[in-house]
Amino acid sequence: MVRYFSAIVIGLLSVLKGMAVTVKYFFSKKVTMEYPDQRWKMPDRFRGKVGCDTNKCISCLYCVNICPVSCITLENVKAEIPAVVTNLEGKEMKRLKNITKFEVDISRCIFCGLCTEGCPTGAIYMSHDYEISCYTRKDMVYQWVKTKL
Amino acid sequence: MLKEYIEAIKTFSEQNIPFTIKGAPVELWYIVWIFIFGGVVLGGAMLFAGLASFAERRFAGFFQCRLGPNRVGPEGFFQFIADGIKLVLKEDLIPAAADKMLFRAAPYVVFIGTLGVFAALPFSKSLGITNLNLGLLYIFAISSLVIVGIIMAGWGSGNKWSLLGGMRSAAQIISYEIPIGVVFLTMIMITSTMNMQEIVNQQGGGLVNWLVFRYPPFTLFAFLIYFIAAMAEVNRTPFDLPEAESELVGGFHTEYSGMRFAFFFMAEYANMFVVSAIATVLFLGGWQSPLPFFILNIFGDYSILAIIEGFGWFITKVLFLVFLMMWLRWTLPRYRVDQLMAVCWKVLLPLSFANLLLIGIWMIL
Repeated sequence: MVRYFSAIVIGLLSVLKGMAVTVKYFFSKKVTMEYPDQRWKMPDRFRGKVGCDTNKCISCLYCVNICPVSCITLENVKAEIPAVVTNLEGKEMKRLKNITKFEVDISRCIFCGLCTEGCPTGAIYMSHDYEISCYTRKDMVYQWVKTKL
Repeated sequence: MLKEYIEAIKTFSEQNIPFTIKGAPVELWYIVWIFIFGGVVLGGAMLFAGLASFAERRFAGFFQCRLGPNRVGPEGFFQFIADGIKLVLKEDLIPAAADKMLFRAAPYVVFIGTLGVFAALPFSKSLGITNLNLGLLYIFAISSLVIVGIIMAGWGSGNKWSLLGGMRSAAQIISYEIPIGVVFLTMIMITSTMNMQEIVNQQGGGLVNWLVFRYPPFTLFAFLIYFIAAMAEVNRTPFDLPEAESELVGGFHTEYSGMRFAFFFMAEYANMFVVSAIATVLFLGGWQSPLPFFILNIFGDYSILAIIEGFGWFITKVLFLVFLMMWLRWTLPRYRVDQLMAVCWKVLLPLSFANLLLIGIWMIL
């Protein structure tokens, strides 16, 4: 008899306890991120879509050679007047070649970041852009061309 | 026989029609008023069901640290209209193995069982569809129609999950109707009437006169027993075995789509309103104010404004109980079938009988 009633009391109390927990969440701050309107701030070292500043690129082909999946294509011609580019350490470097084609096939990219680590001028970098879906494979190939020949 | 019947309708309509135009036959007005009241109740019930379904989804979000639907309209307020349009436009599928007659009729039976109760609810002082002398008995009787509809749906779908859901529902609702009946009996014993308006009238004069505080703590126990059993009666979590998604796919409404599903859906939410309204009338003073007086009675005793205030109190109490049901839904997990039956037969039923007995003894003393 005692067990019967104590079970009822314990049951009702545990329901109240549970309700206290849920009502705490009812008024707490919501964790939902309403995506297209609100976005996460990405950490500094987040590796998103590859970006390139072709003004800085000296066409050394480092990134092309190191890329494990060969998704970078770079074509150039010899420059008539060499431009001057400042590298990461502040030294001035001569750019002897002009870029005619700089392509990254994002559909093949594995976002390893190797291309950016050795780049002497910091021309190629991993951006914070993660919205890279598109409708065709062609759209996945990003091009940065400085001059048209 | 037929003549007597027509005479009875005639006398009834002469007494009950609010107003008529001279020259028009009384019977015609009777029919017109039937349609007007029916339309008001149907519209009100559907609107409540829509709003409650929206509120349920939004509150479910809040209880789980989410936002819930907030895209359609301000704060997602028009979500239920979008849902309704979607359900109306959907194709009405009937499975080949279904018992087509039963399958088609079931949602309406369920809906009628829910809607019929609205006829006897006292929404405010002298505001209600009818004022039946045996209101409580009528409500108890017509709300049982819901089970018939659910079994029809379960059997008519020609699907084992639906049948299981229907059978579970039958077992559950019939079991839980017994404690509810005993609690009704207790309240009838206290108020010595089955007239819903009369029950509310007896609870006037502030919070302390509400029946839930009449014989402390026994009427409070009666309220708890009624509320738990009522949650089982309307198939809400933790008693939602008839439509347990994770076990029975969707229970009795697995095969339903489009408008027929919408009827089940609306019936469920309207049913929540109904059981909360009954709890309000029986225990929480119905349309009576928690203060000892009506604030708007300064404009005359029970003027239109005071009646509206009473309606406001009634709706507030009902909505609070509905919110409580939603709160419990997102707090408790579902019972097992044996636990469900144990709660009813081993706990609620003996306690409700003991309650009846003790209140009876108190009343004699």
